[in-house]
Amino acid sequence: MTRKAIMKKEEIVHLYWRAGFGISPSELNLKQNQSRQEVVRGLFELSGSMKELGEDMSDLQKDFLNFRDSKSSALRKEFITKSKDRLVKLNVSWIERASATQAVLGEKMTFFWDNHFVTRSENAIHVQKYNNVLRKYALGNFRELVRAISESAAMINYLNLITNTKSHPNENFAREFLELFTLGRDVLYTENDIHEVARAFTGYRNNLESEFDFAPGLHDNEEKTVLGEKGHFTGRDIIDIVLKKKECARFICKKIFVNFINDVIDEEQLAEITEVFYKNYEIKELLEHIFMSDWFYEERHRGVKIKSPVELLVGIKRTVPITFDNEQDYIRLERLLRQVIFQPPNVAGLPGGRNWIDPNSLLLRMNLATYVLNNSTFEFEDKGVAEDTFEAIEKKAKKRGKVFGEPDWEHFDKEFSGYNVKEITTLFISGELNTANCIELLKDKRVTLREGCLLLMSMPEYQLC
Amino acid sequence: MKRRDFIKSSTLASGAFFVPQFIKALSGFDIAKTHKRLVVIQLNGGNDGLNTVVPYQNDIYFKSRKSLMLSKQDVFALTDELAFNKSLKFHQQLFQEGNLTVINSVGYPEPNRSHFRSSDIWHSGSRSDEYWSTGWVGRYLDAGNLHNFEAIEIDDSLSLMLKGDHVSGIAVRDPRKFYNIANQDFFKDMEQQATKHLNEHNLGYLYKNLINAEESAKYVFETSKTYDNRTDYPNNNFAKQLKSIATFINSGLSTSVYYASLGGFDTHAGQRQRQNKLLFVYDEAIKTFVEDLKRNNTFKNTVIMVFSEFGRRLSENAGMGTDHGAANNVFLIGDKLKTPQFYNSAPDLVNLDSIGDIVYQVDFRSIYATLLDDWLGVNNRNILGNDVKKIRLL
Repeated sequence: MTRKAIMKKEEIVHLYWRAGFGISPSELNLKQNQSRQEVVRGLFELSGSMKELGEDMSDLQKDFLNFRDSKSSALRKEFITKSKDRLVKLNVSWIERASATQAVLGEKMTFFWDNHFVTRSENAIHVQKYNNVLRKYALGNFRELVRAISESAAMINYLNLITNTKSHPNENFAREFLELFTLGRDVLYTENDIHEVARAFTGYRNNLESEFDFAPGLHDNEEKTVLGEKGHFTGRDIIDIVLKKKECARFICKKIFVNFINDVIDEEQLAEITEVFYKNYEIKELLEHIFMSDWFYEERHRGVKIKSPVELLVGIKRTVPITFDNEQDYIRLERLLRQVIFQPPNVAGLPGGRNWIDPNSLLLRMNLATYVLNNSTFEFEDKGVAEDTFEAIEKKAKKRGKVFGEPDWEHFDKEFSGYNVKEITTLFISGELNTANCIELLKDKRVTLREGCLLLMSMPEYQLC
Repeated sequence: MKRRDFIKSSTLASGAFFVPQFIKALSGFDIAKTHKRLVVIQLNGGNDGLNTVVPYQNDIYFKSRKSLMLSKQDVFALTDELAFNKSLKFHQQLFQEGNLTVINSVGYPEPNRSHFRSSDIWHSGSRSDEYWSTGWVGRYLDAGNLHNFEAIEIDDSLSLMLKGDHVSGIAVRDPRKFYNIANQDFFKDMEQQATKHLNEHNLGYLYKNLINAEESAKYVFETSKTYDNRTDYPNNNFAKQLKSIATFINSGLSTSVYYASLGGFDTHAGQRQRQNKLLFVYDEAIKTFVEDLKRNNTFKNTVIMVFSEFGRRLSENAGMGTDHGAANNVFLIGDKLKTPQFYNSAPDLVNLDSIGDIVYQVDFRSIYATLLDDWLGVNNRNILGNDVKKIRLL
């Protein structure tokens, strides 16, 4: 068994790209002479309790209550404007958190669940609360996570549970719950199951403090039949019924496989992790099993996953720290890269993988490091949003250019002191660097460490992890 | 797949794949005169169709639009029911000459009123309860295994409409800049050595996209610079997009689908002035564009389709604007229209949906199906699925 043996450097790098956003020399240093078990345990320990995201929202809550009381459209507008501003701040703080935290696995899983249990809201209070629910259960129990998301104001409003009542059932949540959250499209359930699940989730509401507020008077207490079982079910009962199906464990594991292992599914390995997850739906145990498996480190699984824009950007920022002077620059970059945090295109979330890549986006991604770290002028501008006015669009078309921020190259120099250009490669590129001339360049003594860094980050291989 | 798999015979890498296109374009063979083109234009934000093609004699319209209504003196009458907003002067001419088809009440079942979602539905061609990650133009490229430059968006990044599973279109705002970015020496060196990676799963996919970006940029830049477009276009972003398209078309670029957009139509407040201005900008740019194509004898092989992600509510709101609606009109502009002027009757303002919006009569996908089959000459079933019916347009 390799478990007691010391973990190989390239395996640690692979693990850290998948469980986090890459690894720095000082982090790697700490892991030397550790076994796989110790390294994996360390990852989970650092994500033991996830710090909440966001700041005090009581001022926004006051604005919210003001407009709710008055029903004034002017106050509503004021609230939405302030709320959107807070969403930008929340967006930036998540990117910054991921770029600096040691709890990388927890952040990674929060991003994963955020793209699985998708919601979208203009209300920053709902969004912040929801994100903190995802954080709390990111490595916890899946059953508790599903309960918590179904009882969150963001979800209750996004998928219309708020209008799902005994007299007027709304099936939106029920449909996505089965299709996108637990079983997968047309797996086991029928249209009638959707209808019955909707009835069980009637009465789900949130109060003015954005807390779950079940309304017994709106709940349909009659008997329902769901996936063959009969009873006077509530929403929580439904979650239990669905989780009894191994198809649910498999559906989640398949998504985990694509996101953490390989987008080419190995059916045997998928079946193996499904069994592990199905036992008790403990997310931590599932991930631990994967990271402890020999097969996770096989060459075919290494350096084959296309990074999401957030993985790409955060990976760059963790190597050479940089914060952008203008909050809007984060949004511009995210729009151009097509992953705007808190603005998923639809309830199905972003498809990821090859869908990130087309000729334009690839050129943009390969130029990203020089763009943000080397202060180079950029010839791309984002599309803006549908609400933009003609005048705003005209103005923007004239001002394309740079993002401003001061990259902390001293931090990079300190981290990598003692490294040569060739040695950085093993940390940057998980897998093999294939282009001969790049390898030649990296051998060239005249190429500085910083140049080597930019060079590697501009390689197609850096798009993968 | 093993990392060291060498596929030396790849036609993509050897360049043979696109050489015929170059030869055609550079040898003076006039593709421009034989090749059919589609220009797709989106009025972004949800254009108010009812103040574009105006039911200027309809009492329900007047009652619902106390401050926004356009009456006889504000419109160009087309029939005794419908008229154009006065900003659409050139469209009136197109209409009279038989070069414009107005399709009323276009939409889809269970309409979505969010900009991004409804726009995605129009771009992908999905039903409103499906979430597709490719666009209808992208799948057109997929189906014919065409080169990326066969579909061009005039912008810096690509919209869903042009994203395919295997092949995506390209976004080009400025051919020279795009060429410079794609043809940096550093990238070119990588491309030259890429042959051995093309068969690897995702790495190969990246290298293929890199090669395609470089070749597309080169082809678009070198072809388009052979044509010096001296036509004066209005000085705004949308007109510039159309100028680029005209330059591409008239230079003989083999591209078959172009996509451009004009934003600002989300007129929740102060609609009248804003929409009139936007429609003026739109009409003026289309006029310049169509006349440019006509002078170069390329209008006859070009069809322009104009859509918006949704129409707007019949009843105006309290802010002298309108809110997000459902079905809307679509324009087709061209020389070979089988059903010029009005394809169908005026929108039904009596039987609205439960929210108070116009109910669709024509599914937008049937327009796509017609454009694909009867204009671009491909089988729409491979692109839209089996259940979309064509209509008589082209």
